Amino acid sequence: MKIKELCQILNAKILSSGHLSREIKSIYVSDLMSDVLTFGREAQLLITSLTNQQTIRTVEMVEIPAICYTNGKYPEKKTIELANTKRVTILVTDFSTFQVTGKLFAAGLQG
Amino acid sequence: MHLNEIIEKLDLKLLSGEVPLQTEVLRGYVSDLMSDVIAHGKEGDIWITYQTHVNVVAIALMKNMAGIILIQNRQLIPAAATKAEEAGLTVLSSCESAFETTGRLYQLGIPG
Amino acid sequence: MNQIRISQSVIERIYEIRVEKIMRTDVTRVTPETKMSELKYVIKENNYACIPVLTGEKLVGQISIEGYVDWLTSEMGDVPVSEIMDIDFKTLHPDEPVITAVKELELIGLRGLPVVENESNKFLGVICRCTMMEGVLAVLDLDDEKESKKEYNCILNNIESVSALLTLNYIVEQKSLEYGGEISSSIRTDLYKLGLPGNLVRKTAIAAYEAEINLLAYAGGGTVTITLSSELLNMEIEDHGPGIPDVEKAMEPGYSTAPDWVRELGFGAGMGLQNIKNCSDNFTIKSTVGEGTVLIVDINMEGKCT
Repeated sequence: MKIKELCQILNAKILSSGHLSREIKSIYVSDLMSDVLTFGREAQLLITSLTNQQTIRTVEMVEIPAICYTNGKYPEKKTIELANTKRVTILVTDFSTFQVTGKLFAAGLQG
Repeated sequence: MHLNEIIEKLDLKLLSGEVPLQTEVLRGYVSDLMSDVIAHGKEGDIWITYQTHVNVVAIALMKNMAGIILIQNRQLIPAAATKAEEAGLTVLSSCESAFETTGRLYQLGIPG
Repeated sequence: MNQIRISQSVIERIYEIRVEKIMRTDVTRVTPETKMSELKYVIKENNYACIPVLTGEKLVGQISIEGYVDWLTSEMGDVPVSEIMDIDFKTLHPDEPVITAVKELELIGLRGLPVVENESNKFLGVICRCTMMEGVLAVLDLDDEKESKKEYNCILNNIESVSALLTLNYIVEQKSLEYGGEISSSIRTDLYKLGLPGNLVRKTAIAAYEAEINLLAYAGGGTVTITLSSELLNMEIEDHGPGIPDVEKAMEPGYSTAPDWVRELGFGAGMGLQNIKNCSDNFTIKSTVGEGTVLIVDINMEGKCT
């Protein structure tokens, strides 16, 4: 599924565009960066309520192209700047991690 | 929905506590951040997490949650397991990821 | 061992690089009258390669590190450089291929050679073993777009042929944990630039990142040294922090001494060391309480140039 379509499902706002045309193949849900470093894969969307710069660094290492921040949490300016440099897509949504995950699961996405 | 029904439908393993016949699950909550759960966790939540330390049990008890589901076959560290057992907190484990566990709960109609 | 097909264009380009492109010109020079005792700092400034001795612009001799050590252990006193310097030694010309320099250095086992103008013997610079590879890579990098990056990987095979290793050094300075990952990010970029395979770079970057977080959270910073050979990437992460009292316990998944502020940053779940180990083909950890910790991560090079 394209990032654009995910945005519609999640009623999400794009804070950093990255590669918007990228196809998202699966979803990973975690607030633990070590966990993402262990199990994260390319072409995933990371769903998390952690919004610091480490989230961008982490996805950079495992080559995850996009992050969705939940619970209406906005990242700091520095995080957005870093995401722009690293070409990582940032989405923000008011839904909780549980709701976001549920909606994407219902939309047929894989874990 | 009752917690024992969820256990059955999601094929969860009971790590601590009695089979919770009466516990009502009101909502689902997914987080690995303690501060986040302290701020947003509510009574009757079923909490899905990768974290296994003592604070997880402490917060679930403090918030009077319905129970905890540990994902990817995680086990509580011994001190946390003892604490959960003593307090009669239901701790479950799922062999699936947070995405799948949450997705299935959502499909059962549990709100977030 | 060497089953990798080296792209002809990369070989050609390495052969095309001339000494003048990568020689160091920022070396400190001395005169024949300079006292030997004054060389102490010059040796270090010149990266322990060699010290050119000049009269005017003309190279008249050189002091090698070996010559300096011989003088130190002799009882000659503080004589002028002219008494110690080598007069008959190999020099390089600016238009010679770098490969010649590599072979010469290997042959005579020296750390560096001076470069002089063909006829006049005018001193131009120094080729030293420790900065040579960086130079070669920097030159290749100029044409980054033209070549398939993966081909640079084959440089490593050339390094192997002269048994010189490429070493990358990084310093993780003590800063807020918020900045954790800056160094790992450079490591990742550098390794990709070298054309190493994605899988290897990912494993290295992940291990480096976990280690960097540990350095910042517990050890007040440290160093990361990566040595590349054709078979192995070796990464050593060293700190002079408090050390780990029970290494075995620290390796247990889920065991963590992380304070809450570390956990709130998404780390400290007791997976770091285990994760580093999982990324390695060979992993060792040495830690002494009060002295510090050294992690050694070896990752096999696989699927090179494919």
